[in-house]
Amino acid sequence: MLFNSFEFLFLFLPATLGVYYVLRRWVAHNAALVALTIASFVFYAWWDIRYLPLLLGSIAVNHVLGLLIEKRGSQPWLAIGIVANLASIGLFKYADFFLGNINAVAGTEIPLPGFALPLAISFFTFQQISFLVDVARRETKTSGWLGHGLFVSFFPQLIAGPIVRHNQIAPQYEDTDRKDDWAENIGVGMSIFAVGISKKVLLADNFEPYAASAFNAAARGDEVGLLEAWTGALCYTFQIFFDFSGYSDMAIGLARMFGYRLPINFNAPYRARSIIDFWRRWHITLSQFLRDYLYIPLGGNRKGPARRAINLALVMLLGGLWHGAAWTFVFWGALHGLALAWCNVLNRFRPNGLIPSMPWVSVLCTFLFVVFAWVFFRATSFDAAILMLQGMAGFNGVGPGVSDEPFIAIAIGLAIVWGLPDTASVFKDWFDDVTLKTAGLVPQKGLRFTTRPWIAGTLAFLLFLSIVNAWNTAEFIYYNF
Amino acid sequence: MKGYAIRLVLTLAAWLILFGGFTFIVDPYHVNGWSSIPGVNERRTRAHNDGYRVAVGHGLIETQSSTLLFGSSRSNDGFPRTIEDWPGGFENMAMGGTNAFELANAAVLAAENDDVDCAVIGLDLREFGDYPRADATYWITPLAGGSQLQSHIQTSLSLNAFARALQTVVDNVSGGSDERWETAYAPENSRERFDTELAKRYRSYLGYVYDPERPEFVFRGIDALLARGIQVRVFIHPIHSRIEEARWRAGIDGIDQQMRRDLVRLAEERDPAPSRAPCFPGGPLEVWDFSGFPLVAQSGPPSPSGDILNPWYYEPSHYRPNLGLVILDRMLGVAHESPVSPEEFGVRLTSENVEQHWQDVTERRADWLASDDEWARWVTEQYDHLEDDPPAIEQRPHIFLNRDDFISLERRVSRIEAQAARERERAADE
Repeated sequence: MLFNSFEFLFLFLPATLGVYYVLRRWVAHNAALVALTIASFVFYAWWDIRYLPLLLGSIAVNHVLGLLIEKRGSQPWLAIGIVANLASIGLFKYADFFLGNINAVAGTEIPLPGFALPLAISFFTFQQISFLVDVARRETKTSGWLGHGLFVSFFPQLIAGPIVRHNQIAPQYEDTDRKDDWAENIGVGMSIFAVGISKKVLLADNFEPYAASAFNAAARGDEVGLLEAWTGALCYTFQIFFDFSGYSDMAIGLARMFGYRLPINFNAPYRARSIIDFWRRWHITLSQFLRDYLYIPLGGNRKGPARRAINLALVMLLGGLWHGAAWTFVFWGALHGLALAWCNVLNRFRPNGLIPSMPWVSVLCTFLFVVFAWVFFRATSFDAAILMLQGMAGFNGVGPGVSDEPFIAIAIGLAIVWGLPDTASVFKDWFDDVTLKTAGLVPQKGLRFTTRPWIAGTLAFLLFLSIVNAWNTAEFIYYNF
Repeated sequence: MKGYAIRLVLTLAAWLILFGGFTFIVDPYHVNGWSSIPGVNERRTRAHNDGYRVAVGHGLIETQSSTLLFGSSRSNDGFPRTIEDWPGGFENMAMGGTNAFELANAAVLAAENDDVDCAVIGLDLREFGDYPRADATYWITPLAGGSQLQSHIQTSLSLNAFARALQTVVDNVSGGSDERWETAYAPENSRERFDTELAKRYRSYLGYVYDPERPEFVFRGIDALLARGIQVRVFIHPIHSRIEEARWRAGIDGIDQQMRRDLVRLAEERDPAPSRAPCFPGGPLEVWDFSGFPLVAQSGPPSPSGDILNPWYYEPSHYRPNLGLVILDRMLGVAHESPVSPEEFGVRLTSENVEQHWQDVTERRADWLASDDEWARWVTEQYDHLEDDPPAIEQRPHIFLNRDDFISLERRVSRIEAQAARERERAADE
């Protein structure tokens, strides 16, 4: 079920909100949580009920392991838990990839299992690992079955994040004395949701055809001309940002409608002044996960610059692989790993950017690098990526003309990402201090959300426009991961 | 904050109710039987074009006809809406500008209708090109998988439907109509369209990209029909030789041949159970080709005044219903005289004859171009001019089917196949 689908907007969401608040008001907090958990399972099963047992099994096994770690110490239960979680994601997501590579290298013919990728497995597996590690580190305490079930399955963030830590959300579920300010929950939640769905429906889906056109041509082995390659790469750059940050905004807004606060996931990443800065602004919850559960345990920056560079490269390689079982994703991660290492070196000589008086040069260079790297992320193969890069370098000539629309779309995209503050900045006064601090939010100047009537009218109109344009939208890009 | 939240919700509700209510009451696609307000929507002047999908989506659920025709505007214009004496009833469910994606999903929806026994599907290169996979209105119809109620709500909350509703009201108030649509096949325009269509199609074919996944997609939809015991006839439209020549001149005749090979291969890969109530002689699934420079497609253009019309074609891309009826007759095995007799019009394609058939087409083309036919000479001159001064290739995004398209179709077809298998097992047990 997509957030912008008919059944979600007109049936699932109103019904779930209604039942939740009725139970909270007239029955009990835990009854409302039960309803929310069941609704989340329905939301997940709507996609394919065959994978619901996998989600339920993950909840049960990790909850028991969490209890064992808490009561009997971390070993061997933490190791068992991490191996079990990695095994499940390895089986469903990476088995074909690894066996295919073994077959290619060793000349064997090991049959590929060909499992379909269960929706959200990358996200809920990471959340489970973070839970077990946090319990072992005594950074969180296990909650009841209900709290754990909802921690993993809460429908706004189940499919594509933000990746939530147990100690960020479980205390909110367990707070039975919490007071519902339904007006603020609905008012702020719907407003953030309106911005998110607009990003998805009115922006991302309008970039998609131009991006797909160029990348599909390359995937077919066709030469891509200069204009088509650049418009394709730039359109994909905007598509993935508006798609994923739109999804995150919708998730944060939906959770807020129920009174729960999810972490901020984006903060104007295309305004980053370096790749280090970019990863503090793009998919913030993933960056923090990789930092806390991989980079720091590997030694982080504590063992000298060379080891830091290796650690960064390793973390980003795995980060790339997390996105998809293909070498193009690994290469994308490696590019970012190298860029991070390079930026750390550069920081020693140029701590204030390439040209301190002209910070936009750093922003532009970072943006162009990100566009270049997205080519590998989006391309279906290295050959297709090379064809796209050849086109961008002008090796195939200007190529056939491109209509005006992608250029107009790119101009609009640039104006938005460089001219307007991102959602987190707009709503910064309505996030709590912990959420803002965790995200390290340095808000951009410009628009701020207030409760003035014209803002209600504008956001209602934006939401209305998104709904009447929502019927033919594409699936969220991160649903594939 | 309370005031803000209430204002936000009420403003949104007001937008949705006013917008949706207006569209629902005007009902531009005429899918609600009850809505007819004099001076407002008595004349549904905009129900055609993108409205086909909405009507077909609901029609496929409601129809009680045993034989349904699918396809693009060629099927829509080239066959009658219904055929009175067809056993069990015949209904034309074609959609202008359709393609593989919509056709496959229409086939699935038809498979869920217990009254349907036979499906006839008209295809051509256009359906397998890298064009947008669906018209905007497709998504608001039951073709996309929702219920009729959901479709009504989505239609009411659709920008396309709202625009058509506005046009309908303006037309009814002002006495206007969609004149360009209504006069498309007017006799006085016929000659001009016969002549100008050449350059348009030539340009379009220069930028044509065949997507081999699309035939596969259509046949996966056909699997749903076959699983339910519905007999299927796939045919390639008899476009006029003037237009067919554009493909050879644009260099895509090889793709035209490949499409035939793909259709035959896909048909022969299947091993369907016998049809439950066949309408045509022969097996559950056959592929026919009515194109390839047959005599009927070599017929001359209408007179400039429109007094003398081409008996078979409105214009080179669209044939008349009398030719559509001959197509049905040929597949039924009914004999006709020249120029639509069996040896000159329509071939059932199989893996044994597909290569020879293309050889025959190649020879027929050569004979036509070498003949004394003044129109063959005229066509050659026109394409020579176009080759000397080629038009710019169409600038458009190239669209291919995505993972979601395959997953959603697969889910629907698998469900029907599983249900059909269970029914067969139950019947066998009894």
